[in-house]
Amino acid sequence: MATTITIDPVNRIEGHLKVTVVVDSGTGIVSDAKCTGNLFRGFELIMNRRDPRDAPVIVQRI
Amino acid sequence: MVRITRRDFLKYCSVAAGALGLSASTLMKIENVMAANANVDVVWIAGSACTGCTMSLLNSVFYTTIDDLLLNRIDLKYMDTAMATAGAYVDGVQWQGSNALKAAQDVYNNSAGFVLVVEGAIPTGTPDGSTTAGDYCRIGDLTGDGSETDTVLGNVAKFAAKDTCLAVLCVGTCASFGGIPAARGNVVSAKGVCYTGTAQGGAIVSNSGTGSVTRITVDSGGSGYTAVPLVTIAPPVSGVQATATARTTGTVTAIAVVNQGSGYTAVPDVTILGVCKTVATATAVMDVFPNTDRVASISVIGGSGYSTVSGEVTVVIDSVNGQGKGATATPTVTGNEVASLILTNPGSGYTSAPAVTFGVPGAGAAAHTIIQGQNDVRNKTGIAAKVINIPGCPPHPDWIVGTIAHILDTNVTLPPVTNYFRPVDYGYGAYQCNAGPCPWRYNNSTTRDDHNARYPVGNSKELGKYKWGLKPGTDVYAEGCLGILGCKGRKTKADCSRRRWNADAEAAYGVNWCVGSRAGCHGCTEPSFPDKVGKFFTFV
Repeated sequence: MATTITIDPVNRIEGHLKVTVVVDSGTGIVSDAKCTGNLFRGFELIMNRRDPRDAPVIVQRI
Repeated sequence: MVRITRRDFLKYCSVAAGALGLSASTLMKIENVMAANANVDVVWIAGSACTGCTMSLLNSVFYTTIDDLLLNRIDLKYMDTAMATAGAYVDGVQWQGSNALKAAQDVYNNSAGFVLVVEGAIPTGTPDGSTTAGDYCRIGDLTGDGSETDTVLGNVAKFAAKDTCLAVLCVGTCASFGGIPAARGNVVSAKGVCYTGTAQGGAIVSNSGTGSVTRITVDSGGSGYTAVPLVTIAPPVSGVQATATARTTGTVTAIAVVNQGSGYTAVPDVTILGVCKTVATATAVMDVFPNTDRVASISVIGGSGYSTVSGEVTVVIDSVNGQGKGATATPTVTGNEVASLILTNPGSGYTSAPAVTFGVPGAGAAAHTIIQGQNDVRNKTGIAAKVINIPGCPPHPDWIVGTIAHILDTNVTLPPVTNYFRPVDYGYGAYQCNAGPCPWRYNNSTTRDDHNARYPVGNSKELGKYKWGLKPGTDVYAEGCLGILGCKGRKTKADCSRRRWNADAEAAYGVNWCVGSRAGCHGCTEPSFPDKVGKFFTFV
């Protein structure tokens, strides 16, 4: 028997994060853990074909 | 809950008055409502954001510090970056302990009135492998409707559509206009709440209500006007066109609104036509809702001897000063007493509470009316009527706090706006070059001597001739102005040049700003940021 604990949203961070942990009820041992970034903006794609001098201005807003 | 002290408040006021040019009546209004302990729940939803707006807000010291704002002025019920609790589920069931989501759900389901703050753009696209629009940013089930994988798109739409949502503040250029996540090449179809770039129509609503032109600010007075020029305010799509007249002494010194018009869904263009050397430019300022008051509620004292037969007791609501008309009410009589009055028409145009009289037979019934401005967002329905944009990448903390304070201090009314629904009195009233002293602009000094004393460079005979640092009749920039290096200050409405950033608690002004450190303005408060303002280091 295992218990799944999900923490979503994780607070006090810049951005969006979800953490899922599976705990074995008998032993209390964590058998699985996942960390999910819940936000995708595609900065790499936005940077395509731009004036390279603009790159620091834009990617500093990540 | 601890309140801000009167002494603290007066300190803020004196600083604010000097730095912002607030009028005495505005300050008086703020002072009055501060005394009345205005308070409101706030839910802060972060979408596709870098949290830079949050970080900027945390630097607030000017109107009030952030701890005072959060602890004393508003009830910040939910803000995942700042709050102590996280959201938690055990085996898919919401954990009943300290749970962040419960706070948001409580506001959504039970709050009497709350302000929704949106930070970050809202992705509207559907990723591969998903069937949910906006699934590029999930923020959890803030409404308590059981959808654990709620998106920012869904949550913001649900919160904003709630009747108890008094206002939607789009903090930052992303939430206002799409900003960086909506830049060319983005695959997630990121949008602002009610704008996508300069175009009305965002992820949630298509515009931000209707209004009237209440004043016009002169951006540049022009020169050489030999007669009073003709001022034309563009007509609304449907509604009454506003009119105005100019005052001139060679340059246009002021423009007065003659007819405020109505039905404007966006701040209209102002054109100034007349024989001149250089053309004057001006921008309209709009009140999102024309401020004519109407009857909001009637309380009644019963009296005796009134007929219980329906329609036999007559009620007349009369203006006491000739201003306003049209309010009507229907009485309900129980046991020969007037038990209640149901407002059937709130009327309009009242400037003071109208009087209520009852027809005979019967005696002793009296009623008291309360009027409320239509500017009060609680009189409005629909999301579009609630949205205010506070752009900037990030916005100055004073712009955010000033707008929130205005909403609190005016019994939840939205502040007057300049184009793109930006609050005109809280940061967005003028272009950077005009808003304050740019150290690189030659003609910002009151006199040539004054200028030479402060910036002793260049040829003194030539100083003062330059406008925007541009040599007359050429496209050559004078030494000093950063326009040629890509500075967008002359196209960007923001008051960084006057307010500056990173003030300490005692200073009215901040330490520096982008242009002050010779970096050039990137135009981050404009809806065209970052693409259409042009390349950051290229003259446009």
